[in-house]
Amino acid sequence: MKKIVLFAICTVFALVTKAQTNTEELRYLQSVFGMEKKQVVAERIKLSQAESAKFWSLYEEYELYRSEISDRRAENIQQYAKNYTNLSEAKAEEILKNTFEINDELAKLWQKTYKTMAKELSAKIAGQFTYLEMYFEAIGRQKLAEIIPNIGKNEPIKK
Amino acid sequence: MKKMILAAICMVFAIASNAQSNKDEVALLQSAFGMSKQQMVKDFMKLSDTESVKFWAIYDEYEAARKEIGKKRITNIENYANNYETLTNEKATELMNSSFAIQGEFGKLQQKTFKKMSKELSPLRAAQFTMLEGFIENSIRTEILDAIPLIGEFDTKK
Repeated sequence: MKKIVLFAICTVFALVTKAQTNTEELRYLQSVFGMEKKQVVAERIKLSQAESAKFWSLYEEYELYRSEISDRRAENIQQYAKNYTNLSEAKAEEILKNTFEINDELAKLWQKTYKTMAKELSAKIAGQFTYLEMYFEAIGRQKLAEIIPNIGKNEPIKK
Repeated sequence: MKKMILAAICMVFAIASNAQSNKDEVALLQSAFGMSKQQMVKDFMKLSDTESVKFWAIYDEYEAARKEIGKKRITNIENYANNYETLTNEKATELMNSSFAIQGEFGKLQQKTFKKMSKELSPLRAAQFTMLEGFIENSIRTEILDAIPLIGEFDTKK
């Protein structure tokens, strides 16, 4: 599974770090990532016909919120990329606070979606879905860390 | 089946089980990076003498709290492995709720440590540490998620 989504994730995150990336381009890449992710979810979670309709409607709702959170994160990373070479104390604080907020929001979204899915489908299906989403997120963060240097590392941002 | 899952998890924590504490996730990282976490942090942060005293006091406090959270996470995964074959919806919910709670605790610890370090050292120093720590934490998460199977992935009836 890792390989399937890795390419999409790499492309999205590599471009996110380019401060000059335009929103349209970013949205296109996010949608490619979204499509590939959906395919993996469809393959891994076995659903009956009756479950299918409910699941995908909840999934679409989830994706709507998730992509909003992704946009905020992309914006925060761009802020970091723009200010990286001369990061002030205030900017570092602002960026980290945003990061914490974004992480919290995603965690809340997972919990909310888990509850709804457990109620409307089953706890097992909800668990499968949450696990997959956590996995995508972890791989995404991993790729991000490979691209973005830590403060003071004095490395150019890999594009 | 339980053995297979436990074996997968044991592989992840192979080094951990050889270490003094068999529930320390950081031992896993130590095997991947070839040095202790403390050494990694030390090499990376390049602290002055004055910063050092303050930094390591906060770090030790952070590590003590983080290790407790790590133990909870491993217990939760063991719980999952032990119940995998006969996982009920109730048990699945219990495990997921624990998982959310553990994540929440870790998030809070990161934020608390960031605030403290910002105040006592500087926001830039605190940000450096938080980014490094986030990277380490996520490496562990990725390894764990990679090793454990999805609910019902193995057909236990076969």
